[in-house]
Amino acid sequence: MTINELIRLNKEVLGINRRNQAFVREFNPLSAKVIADNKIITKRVLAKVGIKSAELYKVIRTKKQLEFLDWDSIPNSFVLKPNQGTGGNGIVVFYGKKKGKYEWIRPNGTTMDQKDLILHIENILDGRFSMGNRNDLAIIEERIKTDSTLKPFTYKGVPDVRVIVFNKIPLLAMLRLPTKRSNGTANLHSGAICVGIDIASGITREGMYLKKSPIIEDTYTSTDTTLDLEDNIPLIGIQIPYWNEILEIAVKSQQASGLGYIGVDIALDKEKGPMVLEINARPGLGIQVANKIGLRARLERVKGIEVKSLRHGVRLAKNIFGGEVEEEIENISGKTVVNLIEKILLFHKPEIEMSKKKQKKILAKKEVVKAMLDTGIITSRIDWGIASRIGYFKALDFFRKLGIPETFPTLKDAQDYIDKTGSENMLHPEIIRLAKISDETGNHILPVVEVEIKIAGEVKKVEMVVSRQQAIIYPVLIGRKELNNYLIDTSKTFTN
Amino acid sequence: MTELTQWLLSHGISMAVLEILVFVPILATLVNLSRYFIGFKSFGIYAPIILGLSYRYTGLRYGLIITLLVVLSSLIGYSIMRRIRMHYLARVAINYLIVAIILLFGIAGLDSLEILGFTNFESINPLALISIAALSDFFIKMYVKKSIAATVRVLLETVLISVIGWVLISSETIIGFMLSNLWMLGAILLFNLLIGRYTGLRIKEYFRFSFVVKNDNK
Repeated sequence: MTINELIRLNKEVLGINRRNQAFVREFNPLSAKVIADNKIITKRVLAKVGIKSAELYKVIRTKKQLEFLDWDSIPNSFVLKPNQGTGGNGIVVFYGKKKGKYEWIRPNGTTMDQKDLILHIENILDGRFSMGNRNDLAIIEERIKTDSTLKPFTYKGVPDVRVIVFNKIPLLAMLRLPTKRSNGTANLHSGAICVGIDIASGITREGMYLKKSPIIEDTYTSTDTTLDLEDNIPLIGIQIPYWNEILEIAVKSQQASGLGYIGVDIALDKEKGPMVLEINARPGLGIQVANKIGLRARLERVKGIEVKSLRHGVRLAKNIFGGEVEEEIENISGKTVVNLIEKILLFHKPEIEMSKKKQKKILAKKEVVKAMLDTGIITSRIDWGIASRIGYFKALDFFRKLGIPETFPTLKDAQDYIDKTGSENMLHPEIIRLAKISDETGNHILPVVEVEIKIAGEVKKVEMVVSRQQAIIYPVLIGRKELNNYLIDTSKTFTN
Repeated sequence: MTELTQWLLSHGISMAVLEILVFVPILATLVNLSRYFIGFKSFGIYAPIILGLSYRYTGLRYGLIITLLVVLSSLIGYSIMRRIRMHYLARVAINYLIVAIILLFGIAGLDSLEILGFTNFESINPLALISIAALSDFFIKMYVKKSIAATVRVLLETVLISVIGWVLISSETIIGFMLSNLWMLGAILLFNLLIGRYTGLRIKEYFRFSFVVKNDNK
């Protein structure tokens, strides 16, 4: 790194020193920290402003209470955690209960019986998992069931979205995915994957995870896919569901808690949607790693901005920080969205045999046809009849007279035929080349012409295979070659 | 020697006490600097100070070998006792017992083998030795909560700070200068104040976040 880079890094990145002195100490009053550090109070404060969090089933305050715990009143599936725990320590998740027995099943298939549970709760009460080893309370709460969008990326546990909010403006967000290595927790230090999220769109960037390095701490490596699932799938470009809601909940949580600088952890429940898992008064700095974006520059940028409302804060964030996406995503989001079935304009071929004078008079005729955007084919196709009508009659007639058989047993036979007869060298000038096409009716040799079309407001020349097949419901199929710059929206088809 | 130093020495302060009271702020400053400027974690501030001081009285070579023995015996002790449920202080007491036994026989063993030239254990200050043994408690406390990797990392950083501290307080030049210029304690105070208000990135963080810049250059 050069000196300039070091200076820039210091300007852009938020370090622990500055986080503590300039933000946590400055903007997070003790009264608010007390709320954030206590899960029960957090739930109460959030509920007041209508934010959902996991339902509280039981609170165990003393060993005496533990003795009189009504085990039958606890639902079969639940989470046991310390009220003031840190870093996910001491949290145990139960998927279900063995019928007729006091034995509960954990995500990894092992079970814990009543004795094990009592021991664990006693440990929690003794403060073994809690900040500063003080005595603590144990809470039993609802288990969040992961939303179907994020489930395929997750090993066992619940993935969550962490949003950093300052001055009512969301600054950075990341998705945390539990892995086998992290043992189903969404904790980065245990080996969960963190994936940066574009604030404006809620679309993910590439993932990062902590390398398994015993001596050097905090070395992250990037990854494009999930790590240790049976089928590892790409992490880039996931659209986080409920994105707007998530941002609004994050801002709302900040306002409700009284913290100026906050990290809000939000999980997505299959049925209930976004739910706050916890709020953090001293959120970690790893989120900068996930996004490869420094937090300090963003903090300085929003300091002192007067935010009028919750929506205003979210909108500001999207305007200020949106669009700082990586190339891959930029390509996607910069694309025009088109429908699966588009109305396109077909321009008739200008008749070049005519004299120049006459040609001027004839405005290129055009007609509207339905086209299907078909990612299953490479080159676009056009119906024989229509191609004849819009000016390729002579060329197609010429092609027919070549007497090429309609079908071939294999594509190789078709190629052999072309090679043998040299058909390629004696084509009509309007036929660019011959294409070998294979479909359900067999293998064919077909002519390719260049047609001018207008699609999504853009006029362009497109190579099209002229197809004789009645099977084509839509007179024009637009193939992959032309679809590079579009995003196809399958939910919309044009209305007639 | 200045008049102030002379005056102190003639009013109930022995040379040894004066030395040790000057060493402590130097070591504390070093820990402070390592944490907030470099980003080294240590077992609190007490452990590296005590270790640094102990090394001064045992000599670095003997100090380090005792440290190694203490850490090994704590690990052995912990892994034996992990499966037995018992009260916390009972656990600590047994841990100390194991450390004591292993130290006794470890030292005797090294001395009788003479392989590494450790033949001078007799002259080691027993208080310094017991101070190093106290490291066991810090080590185990963290090991119970965090992973072994994290604990070893912090241990190494603690020992590293202590060794640097040992270099500082073993240097005749530095100590001579400090003792004849006690006003330097004021300078150390100022220096600590400065670090206390330092908000820039720690050196380790430059590495941790280096790709924020690299990412932009792409």
